[in-house]
Amino acid sequence: MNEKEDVMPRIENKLSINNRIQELRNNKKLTQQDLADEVGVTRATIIALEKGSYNPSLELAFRLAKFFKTNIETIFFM
Amino acid sequence: MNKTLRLIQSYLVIGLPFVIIFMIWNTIHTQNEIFLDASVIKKIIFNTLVVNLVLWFIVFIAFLIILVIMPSAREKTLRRLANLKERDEREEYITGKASRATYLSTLSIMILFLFFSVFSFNLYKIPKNQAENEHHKLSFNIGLRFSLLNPPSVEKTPDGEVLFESNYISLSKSAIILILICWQLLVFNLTARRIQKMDE
Repeated sequence: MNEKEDVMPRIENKLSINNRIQELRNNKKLTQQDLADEVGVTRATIIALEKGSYNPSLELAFRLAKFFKTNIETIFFM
Repeated sequence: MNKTLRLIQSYLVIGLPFVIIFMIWNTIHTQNEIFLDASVIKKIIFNTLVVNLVLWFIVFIAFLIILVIMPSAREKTLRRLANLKERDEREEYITGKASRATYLSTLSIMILFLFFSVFSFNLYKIPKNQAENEHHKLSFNIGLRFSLLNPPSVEKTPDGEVLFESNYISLSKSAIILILICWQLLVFNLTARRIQKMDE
């Protein structure tokens, strides 16, 4: 039995995804709490998003894009 | 039901110190001493604490039954006990990772407890009259025991001086269950906190 076939292949190089959430938020003169309330998450999540230590789900990405009236690729980039 | 549950929880929390006070008081002074020597006020306080003790235990048993049979009550109470916060997707992600870490570490500790409950071993000095030769001084024995229902039978104790026996470190059933509960809460909370700190 080939051991490698039993194990899910791991992604060797994790993509580094950046975002412009802080910039867009500052443009709208919002606090992190305000933005968190608008998109339905906690302030800690907004902090983690802006730091780049957490990547949002597709749903949250769409909610952010809808709130900032732009598309996902404008907010998130590599 | 929610209001009732909250009332029960509040009573259990508020009533617990009085239960502990009564238990300590009853350990220091027996009931006879209190009723023979104590003043009227002390007797009234004692009787009130007795009523509280009985009521507290009845409510506690009812609460445990509610936790078992009502998933919603269990969810609310145990989430508070385990400090489970899932207000948004990131907290759900943290809960998932912490749960995984807790599951694996608890599994390993349970395997360790199972090992010590199934295997017994001792190291003892062989008496000179039983030694095969002059170099035959120590003996190490390993025993295997497993019973689903009955406690294990008494093992034959060696004749020589026992230097170490696995029974020295065997835990009671209550101790094992308490350790597992504390271990789960500790690992879960520490892992969740560590993941949260990594994001800060």
